[in-house]
Amino acid sequence: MNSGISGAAMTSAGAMAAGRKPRRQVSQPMAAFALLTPVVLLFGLSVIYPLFETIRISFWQIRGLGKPSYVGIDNYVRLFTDPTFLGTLWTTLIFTLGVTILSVSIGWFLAMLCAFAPKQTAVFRLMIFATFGISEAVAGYIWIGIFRPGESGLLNGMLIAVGLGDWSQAWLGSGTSALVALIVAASWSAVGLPLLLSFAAVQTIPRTVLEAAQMDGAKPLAVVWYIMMPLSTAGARVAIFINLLSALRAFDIIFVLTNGGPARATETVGFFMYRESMTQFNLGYGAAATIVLLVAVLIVAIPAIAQRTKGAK
Amino acid sequence: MVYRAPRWIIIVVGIIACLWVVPIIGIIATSFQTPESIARGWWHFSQNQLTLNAWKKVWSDYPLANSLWVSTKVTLLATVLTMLTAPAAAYVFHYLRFPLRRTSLIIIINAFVLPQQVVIIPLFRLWREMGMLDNIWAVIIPYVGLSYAWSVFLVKSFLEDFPNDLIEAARIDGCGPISTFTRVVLPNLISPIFACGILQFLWCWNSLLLPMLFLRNDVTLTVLLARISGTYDPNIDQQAVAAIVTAIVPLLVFLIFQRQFAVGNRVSSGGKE
Amino acid sequence: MNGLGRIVGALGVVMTMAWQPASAQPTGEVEILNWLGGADAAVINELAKGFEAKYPGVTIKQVPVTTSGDQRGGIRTALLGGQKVDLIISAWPAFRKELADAGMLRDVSSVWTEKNWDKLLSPTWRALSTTDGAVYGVPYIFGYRSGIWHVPADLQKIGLQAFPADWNGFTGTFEPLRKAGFAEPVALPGKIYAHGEWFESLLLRVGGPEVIDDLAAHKIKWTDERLVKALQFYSDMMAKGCCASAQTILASHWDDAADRVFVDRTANYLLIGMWINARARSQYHLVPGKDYALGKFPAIGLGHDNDSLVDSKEVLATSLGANPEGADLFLDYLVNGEGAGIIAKAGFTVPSSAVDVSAYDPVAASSVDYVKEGQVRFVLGDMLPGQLVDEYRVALQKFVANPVEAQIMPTLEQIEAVAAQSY
Repeated sequence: MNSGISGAAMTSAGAMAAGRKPRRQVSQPMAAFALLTPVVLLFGLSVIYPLFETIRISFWQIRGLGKPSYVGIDNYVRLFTDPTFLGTLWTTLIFTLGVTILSVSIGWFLAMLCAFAPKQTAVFRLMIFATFGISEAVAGYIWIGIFRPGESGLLNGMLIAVGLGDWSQAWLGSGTSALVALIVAASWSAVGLPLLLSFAAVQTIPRTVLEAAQMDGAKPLAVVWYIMMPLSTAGARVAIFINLLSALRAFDIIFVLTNGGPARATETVGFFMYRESMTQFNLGYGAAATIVLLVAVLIVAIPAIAQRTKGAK
Repeated sequence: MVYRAPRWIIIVVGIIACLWVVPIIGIIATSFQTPESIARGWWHFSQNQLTLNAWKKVWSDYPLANSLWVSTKVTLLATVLTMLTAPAAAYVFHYLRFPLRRTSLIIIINAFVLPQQVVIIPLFRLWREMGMLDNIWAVIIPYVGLSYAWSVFLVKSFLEDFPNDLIEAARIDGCGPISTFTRVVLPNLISPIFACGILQFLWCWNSLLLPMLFLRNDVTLTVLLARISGTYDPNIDQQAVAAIVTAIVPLLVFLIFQRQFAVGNRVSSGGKE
Repeated sequence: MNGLGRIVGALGVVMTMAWQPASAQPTGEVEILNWLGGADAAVINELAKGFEAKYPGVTIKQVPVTTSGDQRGGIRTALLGGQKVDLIISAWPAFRKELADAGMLRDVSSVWTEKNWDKLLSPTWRALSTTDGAVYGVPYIFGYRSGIWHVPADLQKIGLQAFPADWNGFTGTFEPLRKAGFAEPVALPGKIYAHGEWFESLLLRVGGPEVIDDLAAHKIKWTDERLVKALQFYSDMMAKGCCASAQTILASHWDDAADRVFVDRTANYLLIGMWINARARSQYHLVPGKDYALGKFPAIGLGHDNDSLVDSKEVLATSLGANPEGADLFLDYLVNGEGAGIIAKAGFTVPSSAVDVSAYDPVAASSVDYVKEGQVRFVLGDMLPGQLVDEYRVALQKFVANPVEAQIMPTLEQIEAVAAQSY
């Protein structure tokens, strides 16, 4: 049942191997070393080296341009007694999960619907994907226009126009509605990625399967649920991973839309790290927050990765 | 093409897509309206005045051509490098056995959590000492290095559905690990590699922080246009122009390559049956 | 690598020039760290052009820094990374002190005397530019921050011919304005920092310049009775129905507040800086003095009714640069007629008296007059250490959301707790 491309690849591999059979094979660690060298070099330079720097300065107190002083684990101790930092944890959870669930479920669902009619929906896919190319800051400004207080906000204007004027409010002025508004705005531009990746994954399902399902009288939603969804998890998985981590470190959109407010109600850990490091320039403190976040993600991620690697082999 | 899609599906997708572009229409409308019209709300099309002022001003005040070239150069190089090296890493992590495999994989993937400003200060010092500031590689290297956090994962995720019998067959035919990769795996990874490419292109193209600090004379489009808004004059109309100018290139790239991206990934279906 | 070669070459030129006797015409390159955008950046470009035309041997090289969030982050990154510049633009006294404490600034007191800047910059400006007894640069733009923007035609609807001069007169207009159909007499933008402006100007009226100085240096506690008094006035204003709902206050920033005052005409008063003048003219196309005006912050009769808060932008000389002579020459250019004229022409008010008040539009001119009437202090927010500013603004946000007498002490205690650790 192999399709054309892999078949061709196999014949070429076979032909090549047939040509020089007695050739000695490179050992796996050697091959791994050869293929990984560029990755290790670039990754080491731009991630590992700065990471060690970060760990190092997380033990120092640095205030702005002032002289740094060694403080041991003080930054970490302070972090866990800082009500602002502790407050960001809950907000981060809601924001990150909210954006990921909303964007991936919409994107994935749309991708599966589009797979029924790839040609007719091409323009629509492009329209939705286009939002992915808009920078966070500009998206923030546009969403401010939508959520503005009074009738000059698009959302309020629309509510008034359809007779729901009582619902109109200053959306960014209360903690709960500001967080919801932020999740909506961030999800808006995040839908493009799950749409793109899930669509690619759904496309790999052979048309014959869909045709057979239709012949059996399956309704489109049943096809989505029983056939497309289980067969397109690869795309959604990557999208969940990338959107989750992007939401975790979101800064610009929060800065523009709510500035973490009102009264810190929309401040996430990512925003906190950025504010401490860049605005306050408490580099040591910001570094400690980064390391804590890194360890937290590590703890969450290790079981998932362990399970995945076990499943693969 | 026997399968006929029910009409309601197209209608639903169409409605959602129209809803989705409302803010984009906002950006386009904003770029053509006078500031007092924008203050009133860009959607009051009947009362608002149209103007080309913002476009003219951006056109005359900013050397767009040079920055477009710098952006293109930097983004293309970073994208191609990622597309070449990430699949190799994904393959190595997925199929080969070597010491510290799992640990290094976890480290690479977790690097995605690192906020960019953590990278910035150590790298700024390093580039300075090496005399690399104002050199496009000062930006390209971290772009590629940071991309591994997600690109390796992306490709590896697609490899999980890769048919094992193909790998087996190649091994029996006497292929070593490297030729298995180049002859068997790589040709079947076109779709995820292009996904990596498109994502990397978009992110590099829109990136602001690294080029802002590491480039001086020849700056990228985002850096050039970042100075449109002053401390107290947001100049939203000109920012909208900047957003459109910046978004056009990635959109074209996506349009051109989406075909490569959607076709070609037939391998997992082959393996499943 | 030719870019690098060029820089090294340029540096070499600058180094050799620096050795020449001071009497010779300075040459070489002056590097200025510039984080400004928009109209502010345009002024620096104009100044650089004018300066290079006057001193053909010297070129101004702008080192641009832009960051999302606070610009100081980008400046610090560049400096910590070893960027060597001759001049830095700053808008925050607290940041000036940080730079000075790090040994990155060069005291220009002797240059000030030598070039006779006293003739053009009053002792007030020298005092505002002084950090721990030393002067590190010159202010080139300032803005009045105790002024209340309004549309006179809207006030006339309730029979008001002039902006109310005292506090009771001012708060007494809220009810008539509401009856005349205005939704919010005072547009209070509490999203980021503008709700603090009311507190700061009230504090200045209550306690005068000393309380601002002492509080900025944390010589007095935030629970001081003068601060309590200022918040009582704030509370009084809110109780008299000045503003929209707490939710609207916390959702709005100065830009949409300005839209409500000048475009929607649903609000009347806005206390914010002089950048509104540029916005009103260039974006709303209003005529200064006719369509809109700037009122002086109302008097409360405690002896400080003529004092003002201001902000300023200054150019600071660094100890890092290779061309101090060139840098001093540029500072001199800013203070004297030509440079100051360029700045004034762009619509900004200038500290230097080399510019005649008649060069300003009526609104800008009125702001200059208000500043001349009494003592002048920098806005408090820009003088506080970073961590404290954030806490101060958040605590005031909570107060504004619930502005009752009983909240005053808890609010101040909360700020004081952070202040105690911030110095």
